[in-house]
Amino acid sequence: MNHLDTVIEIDGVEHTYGGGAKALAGVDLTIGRGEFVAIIGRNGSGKTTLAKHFNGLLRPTNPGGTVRLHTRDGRTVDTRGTRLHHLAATVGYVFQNPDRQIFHDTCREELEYGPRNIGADPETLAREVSETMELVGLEGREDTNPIHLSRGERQRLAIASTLVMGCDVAVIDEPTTGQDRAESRKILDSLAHHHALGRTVVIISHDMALVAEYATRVIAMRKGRVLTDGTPAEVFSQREVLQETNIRPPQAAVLAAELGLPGVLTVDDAVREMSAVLTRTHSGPAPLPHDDKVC
Amino acid sequence: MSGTMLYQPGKTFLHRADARAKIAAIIVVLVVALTTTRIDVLVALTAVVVIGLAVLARITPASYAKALLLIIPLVLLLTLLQSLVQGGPALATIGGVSLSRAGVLLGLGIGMRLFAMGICFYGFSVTTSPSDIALALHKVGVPYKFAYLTSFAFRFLPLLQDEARTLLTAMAVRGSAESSSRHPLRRGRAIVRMLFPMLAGSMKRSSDIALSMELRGYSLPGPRTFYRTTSFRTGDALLVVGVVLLAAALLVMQWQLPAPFTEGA
Repeated sequence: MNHLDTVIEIDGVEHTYGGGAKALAGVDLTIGRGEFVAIIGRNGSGKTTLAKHFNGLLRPTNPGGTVRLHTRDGRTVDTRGTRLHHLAATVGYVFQNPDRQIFHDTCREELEYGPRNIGADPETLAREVSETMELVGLEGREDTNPIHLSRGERQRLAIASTLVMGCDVAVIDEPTTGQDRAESRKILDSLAHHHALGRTVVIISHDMALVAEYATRVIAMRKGRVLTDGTPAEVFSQREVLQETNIRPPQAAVLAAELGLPGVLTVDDAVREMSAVLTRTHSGPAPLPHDDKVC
Repeated sequence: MSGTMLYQPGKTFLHRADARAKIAAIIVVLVVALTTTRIDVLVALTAVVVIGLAVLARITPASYAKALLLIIPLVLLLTLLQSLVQGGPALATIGGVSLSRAGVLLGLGIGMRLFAMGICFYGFSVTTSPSDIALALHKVGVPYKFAYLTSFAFRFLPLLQDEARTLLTAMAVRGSAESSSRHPLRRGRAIVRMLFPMLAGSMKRSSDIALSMELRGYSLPGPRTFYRTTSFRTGDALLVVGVVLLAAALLVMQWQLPAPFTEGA
């Protein structure tokens, strides 16, 4: 990846909390423009601590660790010497609990808050707000008080209020916690749409099926270090490595691997691959023994 | 506000003292503070409280200086208002408006009163665990439900502070310069914006906690047992006697000495 494609560059970052717990024990990685990254790992592996370094919510506690952001206008900013709100236009961050980040009386005001802070054009803001509300499936609710939204809708509102800022990178900490499959899909679909616009999306998730389906890159963490990093197919094929951190690849991938079908990650992939195999066996020269009995 | 308003475990005299003795001491200080407006008495009272905390609990003024700085604008405003509404000889005349000497003294006196009371409460909350407060109140006859409520209010503080911190960070993450501004007015705007969601969140949380407490048997009739115990020792008695003597000395000072900075002084 060349320098222009990199948006976040992390070098030798360690982080020790006040109580002495070492949450990051030396992390080096780069996040590229246009990636859909999923950070996975068991609780306490350092996922959130790492993600909070992306926009200066946390700073490395070791003197040698650096986090640099490469902005769209070609500047390189070290998060250590920059105040949080100056980094907001480059990296947006959505916390786990939506209720702790929604503070306006209407959804419209909630969405307008961030763009106004970073100097958005008032002429186009109204349109961007409507588009983002539509993106997260909340169209027509612009004048609703967020209190009257369901938990899943509030989660989508919190995500929308960051996406509308048009940041290069949107980091979303556990976007689907406590949501059913349908609501989780709505959330991930909005992130996928945002990603399709060329933005970088980083999620922290425990839902391996959704990670396999949506992410283009998976970073597995263990004890404050990157355990493995690659495409979902690469990462989920390393079952022994993932076992070290108690992660089980998606069930469809496990089943397909047992059947000797590599590269399968989702149920759709599995159906396609298995149909292809069945078609081959039916039309091929050596049909399965039970086929003879049927004929 | 900083996290330092909360109970910090320790082994100093005030940490070990019975919460009842500390509550009695606070009441004595409050009575003195609220019954006088004499600035010399209030300065002496504040000095007693500051020295008392430093000696008995090893709490240095540096740990609460930040909170006191927040009160200063209020004190200045009070002094200005009092100097305009009180009569008597003028201390100064600015543009035809005379500032009353008695008013300035009264305003500063009220400011010192706030300082003394604030530092006193700070010392109490830093050295007394919420469970000890509940137990002490229960021992002096407050029904357990109310005693527990009081201690719960103290327990709720860190949660509120945590909520406030997260909301301010959420604003900064979305590009707000207000939430981390050092300018009191700009930061004040962020705090006002934060208040409603914080209160709504707290109410939701309190109702969840109330239900959860009930589900685990809170408020069932019948006797309840306590894990912690408390005993009123000689040291506690000495603390109360000491504070009463100091209060008496301050009252004598008020009666015996002429008021300072008056025309006759």
